[in-house]
Amino acid sequence: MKKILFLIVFGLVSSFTAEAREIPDSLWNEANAFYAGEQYQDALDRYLEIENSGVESADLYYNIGNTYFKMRYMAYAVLYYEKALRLSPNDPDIAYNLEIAREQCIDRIEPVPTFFVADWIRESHQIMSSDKWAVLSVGILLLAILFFMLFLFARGVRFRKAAFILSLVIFLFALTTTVFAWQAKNQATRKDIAIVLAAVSPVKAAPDIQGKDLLVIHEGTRVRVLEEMGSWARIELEDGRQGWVALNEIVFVY
Amino acid sequence: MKRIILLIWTVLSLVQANAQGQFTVEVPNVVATGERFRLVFTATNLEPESFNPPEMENFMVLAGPTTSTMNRMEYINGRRTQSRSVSYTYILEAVTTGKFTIGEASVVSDKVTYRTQSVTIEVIQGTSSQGGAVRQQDPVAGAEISDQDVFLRLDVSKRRVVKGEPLTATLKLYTRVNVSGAEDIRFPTFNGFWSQEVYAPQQIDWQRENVNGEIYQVATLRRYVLLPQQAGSIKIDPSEIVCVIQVRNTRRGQSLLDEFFDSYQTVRKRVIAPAVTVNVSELPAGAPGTFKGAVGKFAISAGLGKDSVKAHDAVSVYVTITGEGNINLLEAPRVTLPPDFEVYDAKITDNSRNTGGTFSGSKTFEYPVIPRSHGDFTIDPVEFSYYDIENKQYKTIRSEPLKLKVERSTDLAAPGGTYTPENRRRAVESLSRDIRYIKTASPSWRSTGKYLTGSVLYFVILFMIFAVTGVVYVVMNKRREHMNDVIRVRNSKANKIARTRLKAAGVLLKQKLFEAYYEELHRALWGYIADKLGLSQAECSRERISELLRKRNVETETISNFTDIIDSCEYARYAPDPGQLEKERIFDMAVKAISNMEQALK
Repeated sequence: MKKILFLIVFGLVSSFTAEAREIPDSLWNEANAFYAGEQYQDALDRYLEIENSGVESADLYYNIGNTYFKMRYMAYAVLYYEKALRLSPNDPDIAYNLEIAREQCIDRIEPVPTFFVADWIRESHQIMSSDKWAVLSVGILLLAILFFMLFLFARGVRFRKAAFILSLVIFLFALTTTVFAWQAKNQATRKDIAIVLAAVSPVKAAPDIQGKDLLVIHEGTRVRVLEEMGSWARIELEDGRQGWVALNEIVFVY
Repeated sequence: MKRIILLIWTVLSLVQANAQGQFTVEVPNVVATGERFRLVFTATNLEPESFNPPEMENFMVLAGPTTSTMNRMEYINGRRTQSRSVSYTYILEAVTTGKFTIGEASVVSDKVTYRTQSVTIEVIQGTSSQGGAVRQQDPVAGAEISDQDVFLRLDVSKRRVVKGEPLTATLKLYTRVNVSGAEDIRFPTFNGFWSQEVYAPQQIDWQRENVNGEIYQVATLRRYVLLPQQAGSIKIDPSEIVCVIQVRNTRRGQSLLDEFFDSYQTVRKRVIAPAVTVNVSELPAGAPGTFKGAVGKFAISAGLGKDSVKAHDAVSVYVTITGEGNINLLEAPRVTLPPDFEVYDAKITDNSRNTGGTFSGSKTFEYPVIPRSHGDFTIDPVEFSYYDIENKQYKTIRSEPLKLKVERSTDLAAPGGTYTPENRRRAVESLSRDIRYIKTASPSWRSTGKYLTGSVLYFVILFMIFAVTGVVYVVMNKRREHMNDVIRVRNSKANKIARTRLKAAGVLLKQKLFEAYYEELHRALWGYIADKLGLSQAECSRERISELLRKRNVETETISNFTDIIDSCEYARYAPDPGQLEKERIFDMAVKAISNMEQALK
């Protein structure tokens, strides 16, 4: 019985962490060497091979973004920095390079200012990635249970009181971190942010090729996709303007 | 042996240099058949001992060699130069057409042999049979002087060039008549070219040239080097000259004297050189970033004035570009210096010369540089790009990197001296901006799109946590209940066991087994209190019992009575026999203490 249980857990854990670690690591080092030698096309080929092998990491996306930047493909650089930021929302390097890549893009859009407290609440889960939140929440939950057990079985009235209050507080923490883990996961998997990859993309008033052009956006611009209809997507710019663009001109960040 | 030859050679060349002796040949390069012409060998500043003429089998030798000697003395700015020349003159007549070579002639002077160069003479079909000098057709007055007789021509060396490629333009006057002078010369203007006059003679030097089978006297008036500055077909505007031509008067045959002394008059004729168009093509696309319009073939070198310098002292960086092409128009190449170096505008030294229709030589750019910090620095190679005309492609050349050692400035580091506050602090400048470098440490890979949150594993972990918690709770609970049961049983049975033990002690007392009696009594008391309080034998101590009893609100007197009787039992076991009465009294007291305790712990 114990053996079977162990096998199940082990299987689950190993299926979760990438199976073939050896191949990406050698490719990774090779790609980094090519990047260092300024052979960006070769480096890019290897990075993309790693990406296509079904594994990912914030560092991988960051390096791909850097390679595209050096090859002057700014829209792709922005796309991959955004991808990296989704996996590792609190990495200052990614944010810095994304900022530089954005400066190289054509469209300059002033974001609508938002209330900072709302930002804090909305972005509080961004301190860590979803996985880290999940692990943390499990750890905190274990601690909460431990204190609760102490409350149940320990002797001494005062000690038990303290254990009870502590376990309640810790349990609240566990709950919060669990919520964050789910929020972060939703944020990371949500198909809402997209980057314009077409050099020029007209934003139409209606999902129709004959539709009136409202504005023209260029490659590298970050848009929020509000809905999809056929081969069209209703997008919103960071300054709040909306319109329809062809789905094949944008790529989702997720 | 070799050394000796070298020595002799050096000595000989010295002798030659001192004497400045020359042995030259002079002959028209084009003659007509039947024409008589002079072939002159001249030995200047030599003492010819023997003259060795060349073969002249293709020409008829009419006279010669006639030797003549000439002494010349010149005063130029108070300096006297003396020269003496001996010439050997032949009068030849050309017989057959073709190109013939007259070989080397040699003279021996001071045991040194001097040789002339071999010369080639082109012989063309003569039009007049009478052998005269050049067929200087002095046209008759009133007769039209045709465009064939005198014309001006501008020759360009290349008609198709790329922008910046040097070409030469030569303005020549051709004549068959006696031109005695020129007036009102309008030289060509070269719009769209950078031009430089490279040949502008003070005196007109007539040469002979064969133009379509006719011998013309040709004068080179000007020669220019042109560098096209713009693309397209560029027209060089016509140039003009007014020739003064001597013509013979028509009046003739009146007297023998008139026949003998011709009279001349001068006629003016305007001649125009036709416009010339040069096709200048744009340089091909794909010029490197360092290309600044250099066309030709170049090499680059760089150097430093000093290899080692003190901080804040100036040092010169020299960049020299040598080669041929539009070298005089080169712009200063960019020198990339390490940060903290100040560089000033380059001083340019142009050593280019015009040679055969192009510029060659070198151009040196001297950059004054002041290093502001000490240390060992490497100045990056200077890059220079040019368009290679021969290979029709751009080439980028770079100099060697330069190493510069900058020593600590002595102004500041005076050891032991007082520190003079100096405002050397300044803000750190950002030289350029770039993205941050890639991350090289192996990251922790994860399967794309798989998240722990919400995965099967996540739920399994949560489930297991709660399952284990449940199991632990159940187990713990059971154990606690069991423990409680044990305590309760012991509690309820404590009195009974104590009574049994007391009874046994009573029996022992009657049998006068005092040792066993005390022991039994002692055990009855301890056993009772341990059972009552749920303690194991090991946990029992006097202090712990008192503490627990006090917690359960048992009166201090009852507690002290109980512990006293235990003490008495222990004491009596080892003390001398106190007597039967005393033993019975202890027994009663024990019974009483237990019943009191029973009362108190209810």
